Amino acid sequence: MKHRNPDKCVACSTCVVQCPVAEVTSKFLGPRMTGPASERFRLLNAGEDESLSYCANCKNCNISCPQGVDVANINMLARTRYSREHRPSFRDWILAHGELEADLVRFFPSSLVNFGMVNPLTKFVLDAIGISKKADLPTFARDQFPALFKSYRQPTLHKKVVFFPGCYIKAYAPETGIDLVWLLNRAGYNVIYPENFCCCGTPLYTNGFEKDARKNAAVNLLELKKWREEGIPVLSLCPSCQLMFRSEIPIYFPELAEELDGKTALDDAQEFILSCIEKGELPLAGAEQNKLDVMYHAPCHLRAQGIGMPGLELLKKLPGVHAVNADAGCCGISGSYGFKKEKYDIGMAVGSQLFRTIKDSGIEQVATDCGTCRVQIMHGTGHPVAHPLNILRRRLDTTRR
Amino acid sequence: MKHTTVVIIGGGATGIGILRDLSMRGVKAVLLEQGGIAAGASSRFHGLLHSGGRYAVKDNEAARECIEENTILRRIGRECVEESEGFFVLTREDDPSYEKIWVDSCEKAGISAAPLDVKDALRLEPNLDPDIRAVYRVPDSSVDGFRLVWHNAMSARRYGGEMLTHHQVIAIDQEGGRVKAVRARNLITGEEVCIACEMVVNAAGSWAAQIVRLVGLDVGVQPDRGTLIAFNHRFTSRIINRLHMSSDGDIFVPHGSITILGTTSFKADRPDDHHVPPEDVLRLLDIGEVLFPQLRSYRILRAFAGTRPLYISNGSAAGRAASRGFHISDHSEEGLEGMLSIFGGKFTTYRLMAEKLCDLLCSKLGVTAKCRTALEPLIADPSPEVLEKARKVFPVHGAELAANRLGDAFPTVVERAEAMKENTLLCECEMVSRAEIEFVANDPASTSLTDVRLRTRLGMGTCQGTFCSLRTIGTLTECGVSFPISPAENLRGFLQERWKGLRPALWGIQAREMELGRAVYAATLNLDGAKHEQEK
Amino acid sequence: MNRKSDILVVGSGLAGMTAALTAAASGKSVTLLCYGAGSLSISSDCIDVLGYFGGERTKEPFTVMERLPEEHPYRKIGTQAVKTALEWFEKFCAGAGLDLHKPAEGEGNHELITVMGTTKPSWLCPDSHDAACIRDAKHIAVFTVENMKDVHPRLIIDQLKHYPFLADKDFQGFTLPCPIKDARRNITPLDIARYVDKPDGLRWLHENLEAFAGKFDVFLLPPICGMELAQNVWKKLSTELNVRIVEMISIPPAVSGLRLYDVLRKSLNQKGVYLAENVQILSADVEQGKCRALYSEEGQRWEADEFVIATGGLLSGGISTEPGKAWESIFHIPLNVPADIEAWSSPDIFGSSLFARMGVSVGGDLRPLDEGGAILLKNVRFAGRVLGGYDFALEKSGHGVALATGWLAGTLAGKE
Repeated sequence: MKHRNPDKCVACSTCVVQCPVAEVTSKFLGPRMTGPASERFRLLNAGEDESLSYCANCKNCNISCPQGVDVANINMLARTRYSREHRPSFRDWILAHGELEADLVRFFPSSLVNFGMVNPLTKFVLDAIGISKKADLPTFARDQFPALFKSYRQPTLHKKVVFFPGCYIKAYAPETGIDLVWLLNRAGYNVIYPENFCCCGTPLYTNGFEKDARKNAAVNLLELKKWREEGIPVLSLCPSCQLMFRSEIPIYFPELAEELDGKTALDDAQEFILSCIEKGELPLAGAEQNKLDVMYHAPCHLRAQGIGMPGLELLKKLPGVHAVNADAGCCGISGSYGFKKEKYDIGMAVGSQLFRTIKDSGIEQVATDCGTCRVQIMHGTGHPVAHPLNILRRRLDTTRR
Repeated sequence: MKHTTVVIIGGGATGIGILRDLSMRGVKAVLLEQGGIAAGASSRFHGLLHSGGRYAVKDNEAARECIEENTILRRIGRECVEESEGFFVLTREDDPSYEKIWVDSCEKAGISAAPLDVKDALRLEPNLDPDIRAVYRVPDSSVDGFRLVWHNAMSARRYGGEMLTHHQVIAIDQEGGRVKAVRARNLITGEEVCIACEMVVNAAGSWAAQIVRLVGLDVGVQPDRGTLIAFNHRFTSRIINRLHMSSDGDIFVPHGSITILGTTSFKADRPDDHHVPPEDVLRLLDIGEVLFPQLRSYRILRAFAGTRPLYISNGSAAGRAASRGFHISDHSEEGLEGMLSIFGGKFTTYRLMAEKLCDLLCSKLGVTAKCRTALEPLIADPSPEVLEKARKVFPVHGAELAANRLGDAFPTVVERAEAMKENTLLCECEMVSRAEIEFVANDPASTSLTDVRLRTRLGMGTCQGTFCSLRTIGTLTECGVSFPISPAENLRGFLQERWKGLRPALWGIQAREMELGRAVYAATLNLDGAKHEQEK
Repeated sequence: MNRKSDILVVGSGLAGMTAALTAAASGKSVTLLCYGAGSLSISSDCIDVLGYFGGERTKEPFTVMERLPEEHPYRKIGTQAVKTALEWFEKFCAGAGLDLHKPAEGEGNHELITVMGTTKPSWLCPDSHDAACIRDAKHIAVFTVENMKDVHPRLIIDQLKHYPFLADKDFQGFTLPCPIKDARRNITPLDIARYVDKPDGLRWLHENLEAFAGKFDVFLLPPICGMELAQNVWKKLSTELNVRIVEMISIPPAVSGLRLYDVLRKSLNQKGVYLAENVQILSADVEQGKCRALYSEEGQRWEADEFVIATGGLLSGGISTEPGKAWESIFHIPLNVPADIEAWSSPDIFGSSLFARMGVSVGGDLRPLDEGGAILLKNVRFAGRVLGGYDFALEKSGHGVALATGWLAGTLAGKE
C-alpha cells in the first residue's frame, strides 16, 4: 500500500450500523467518522480526535463494509501515527508486551504468579494503572507450551508441519497446542515448533508500539520464509495471529510483506485438520459417540479472514456432537481492549448479546477458537469454554475417556 | 432610485476586488452580480495561486506580476491560501532542453526555483511517477478562489461597499454621451432597481461583451471553456506542474481534503457553457497519468468547467497592456463617458487589475486617495481565545476549517454555536456544523442550498450531498430559515447541481456513490414521485 | 483450501439471503458467502414491489406487471412467481416474528411516510409503517428526538401539506428530549430504537408520548420503536396510548432494514446455512458452460453443484464499470453499453438512465444468456440488483425484485 487512499468509502453507514462499540457507547464517533471520513483530514494534517481510542479493532466494520474498506486498519494506522508523538501509557505497555511478561513469569511457579495476579492487592495496583479490577485476566499455565512441547514425545513420522502457537497458547493454553500436536501426529504429521517465532505483534500494534511490532514481524516473516522454502506448511490456531499475518502485515509493513511477494498468510490449523479428515488421514470412526451439545462462537478476527468457520465445521463432523453457531456478534474483549479500566463496561455491554444467547440456549458447553474470547465468555457467562480441538481430541483420544 | 458614485458589474474576483479597492479609497460603490458571489470563473478554476513559473518563458512580465501578487496575497489572504509550495516536474515525456530555458526565465522574473533531488521529491510526494527526471520547488500556493472573493467582499462591506447578488443588469442609461444610471432586475423576486451613478465599471468577465453591447458598442471577448476534475482525496500535498510549455491537464492542486486537476481549453459558445464532455475528463486523465501513474484508481468526485474570458484585442486597443494578460478599455475613446471595462487577466493578479482600474477611475473622478489593498489583510486573524472556544463547540476537525471559511463572521458563529445545545455536524464529509450553515443560510446573499454549499463546502465531499442535504434542509426548515423556493425544490436543485458534476465521470466508485444516492432520494424518499404529486 | 457444499450463494443482501433460505429448504447443504453486510441493513423492511410504472403511481403491482418491458426481471420470471415469492415471504416473516402484511383485498399499495415528508407506495410492510390511517385522521402529531439530525417535524409537515389530500389536516410538530446523555456524536433513530428495546427505554418513550395521547389521532414517529422487540413495542404503545402510531421511513442508518436483516440472518443460522464472511470472490472455475468453483483468493476454493449470484449492482460491486465498459464482476460477462459515458445517464437526476438498468440478462430460470439468447452457464443463477432491465429507484421495485428472483433462484437451485 503506497499511500492512504480513503476513496472506496461511499459513506453508506453500514459499518456504523454493525459496529458493536458504537452500538453501546455514544462516546465513539463510529467507524466511518473515525476511519475514512477523518482520513481525508488526516492527509491535511488535521488533529486527532480522542474518539479514536474507542475503536476496539474488532474488525466488524471491515467485515460489514460492502465496499471492501479496511476501516479498522485505517484507525490503527492513525493510532500508530498518533503514538509516534504521544507515548502510550504504562498500562498499554503492560498489555502490549504479554510475551515478555510470560517470559519472565515462567521462572516462578504458576500458582504463585496467578495468586499474585488475582489477589486484591495486585488487582488494586493493576486498577490504579488502568487495568479493570472487575476483569478476569487469563491465568498462566503451570508449564508453558515450549516446555510442554519439549517433553512431549512425538512418534517418528515423515510428513512435517510447522506450528506457530502464538502468545496465548504459549503462556495460557498450552494444552490446546498439545492437542493439535496429538491430532496432527495421529494424522501422520510430525510437528516442528521453531522457537524463533515470536509474538505476532497484534497487541503491540493496537496499543501503539509500532517499532516493536515491526521488529517481531520481521523476525516472524524471516522464519516463515525459511519454512516456505522447505515446502513445509506453517499452521496457526490463533485467529488474531493469523489475521496479523494474513492481512495486517501487508497493510502495516508492506515493505516486509514484499519479501514474501505479499503472501504472508499462515495456514489455518483447523482447515488443515479438516483436509486431513477429508483425505482419510484422520479417521473419526473411533470417536466417542456420546451426545454433546456445543454452542460455537466465531471470533471476529476469524470472521474477518474470509475463510469461514473451520472450527465449527470440525465440531459438526463429530458423531454425537450437535454444534450450533451462536452468531451473536462480538464478545467484547478484542484482545486487551476489554481489560482496560475505561473500556471494561463497554466490552461487557458489547458481549452481552452473546452472553444472553449462550445462557438462553440451555447449552452448557461453549467452544471458540480464540483465547481471549474464551476468557471473556467464561467471565460473562460462567460457562465452560473449550477450543474445538480440545473437544476433538477428547472424543478421539481413548486414553482420555 | 438609488444613488452612488460607481456601479460595478460583476461579482467575480475582479469586480469584488474593485469594490474593495474603491471602498478603501472612500469612493461610494454598488456592485451588481447576476448570480451569487464568485459564481463564474473565480470559483471555476484549479485554485492555483501562481508563482509565475508557468508563465516565465512565455510571458516574463506576467510571471513577474504573478510572483509579486502571490507574495502579497499570501500576506493579506492567509485564510484563503494554503502555502503548499509547488513542484515543476520534468517527466519522461517532456523535452529536457526546456529545463534550462525555464530556469533562466524564472530567475529573470524573480521566481525562486530551487532544484530538488528526484529521490527527495519522491519521498515528499510518494505518489508521483518514480520515473520523473527533474524537480524544482517554486512558491506556488493553493488558493480557495471562492473564499478569497468572499473575504474581499467582507472587507469591502466593512468599508461601506454594497453588493446586490442575483441582480442582472438590463440597461445602462445614458444622457448626453455620459453614463447616468444602471438598471437591474432581481432574478429571484423579479423587482427592478435603478441606480444613478457617475461611473460604471464593467468587470463581468466572460459576460463583459454582453454588457458592452448594452451601450451599443462591441468588444472581442471569447469565452474559453476549461474542464477540471475534483478528486476525493489529497494524494499530493504540493502543487504539481509539468516542466514544459503550458498545456492542458498539467496542473494538480491540493485543496483541503481534495485534489483538483486542470485544465483543458476549448472555445465555448456561451459564457455560461459549463457543460463537461466526458472526453475532456478522459483527456485530463490521460495527461495526468504521466505524473501520477495511479491516477485512474483515485476516485473522481466531480468534473466541472469554467469559462475564461479571453480578450481578443481589436484595432483600437491593440498593443496596449496586451502582454499583461488583461486590458482596460476606457469607452470615452468610443464616445461614451463614464464607463470602463476590464477584460482578461488571471485570478492571481486580480488585485493588481483592480488597482490599475481604480487608479484610472479615481483620476477621472478627481479622487487622490491611493490604493491600500496590498497593505491590509482581508480579514483579521481569529484570536486564539475565539479559536479555543470554537474547539469546544465545533465537532471533530471543524473549528479551524470553519475559522478559515468564515473570516470576519467566525466570532459571531462561535457565539451562535455556544448558545446552541448541540452544534450538530450536518456535513460529515467536509465537517460543516449547524452553526455555520445556519449563519450562512441567513445571509441575504444565500438564496438556495447551493449558495450555502459554495460558502461552506457542504455536500462537496465524499457523499456529494447524499446524506447532508436532507439533514440541512430539515435543520434549516426547523429553525425557520426560509428560502424563496420550497424545501423539496431546494433539495432537488441541490442534487441536480451535484448530478451535473457526477455525470461525466460516472464509473467506478463514483457510480457506486450515485447508486446509493438514488437509493436514498428516489427509492427511499421518493423525491422523484413526489415532484408530480405534491402541489407547488 | 477446498470448501464444498451442494449450493453456493454469493451475496448477503435480501436476494442472497432469500436464495440461501429457499435453497436450504431443499435439505441440501448451503453456503452463503458474504462480502459486507449487503445494503438491506441500511435500507427498510418494507417490500416495494412496483410503486411506479411509466412515471405514474401503480394502484397495485400485478396488473401492470404484464405491461413491463420484456427485459424486466418480473417479465422474465412471470407474475405468478412474484406472487408466490411474496406469499412465501409473508409466511416466513410471520414465523420469524416479523409480521409484514400485504394490503387488504381490493386495496392498493400501502402508503408509507418518509422523513422528507413524502409518501411512498409499498406492497408488504409491518403495521408500524402502514400510514393508511392518516387519510381519516384530523389531528396528527409529528415527533422527533432532540439532536436527531435526519428527522425534522417542520420539514415533514411543510412537505406533507403539499399533498392535496393532507392540506387541511392539523399537523403539529414536537421534539422529545434525548434520553442518551453526553453523546459525542449525533443521535440516530437506530440509537433510540436500540434504547427502546430495553425496559428503561420503553418507559422513556411511553412517558414522553403519554402527554399527547387523546389529543391526536395519529403519531408520526421516526423509526424508533425498538429493534428486536419492535413488533411488541409498537403494539404495546399503540394499545396503551390508544393511538395510531406510524413509523416514518428514514435514510441510512435506517432502522427497519436492520430489523429484517437480523431476522433473516437468525433464520439462516437456524436452518443450518453455513455463513462465510468477508469473502470476496475474485474469479470462477468454469468448464464447458458449468461452474465448478469460485475463488476468493489464491488457493481458497469454494466448490458447489449449483450457484446463485446475488452480488448486487453498481453500489455493491456485482457490476463493474470503467469509462465506456461494464461487466458482471465474477464471470466477467460483458454488458452491452454505449462507449459514450454521457449516454449512460439522463441530464435529469431523476430521469430515466441507462446505467440504472445495467445488469446481467437472464432467462426465465435466471440463468445468464448471451446476446443470442443461449444459456451461458448451466448451473449459475442470478438474483437481485445484478440483473438488468429494471430501475429499482424510479420504479420502487428494489426489494420486490430481490425477493422474487432470490426466492426463485434458491428454489430452482434446490431442485437441481
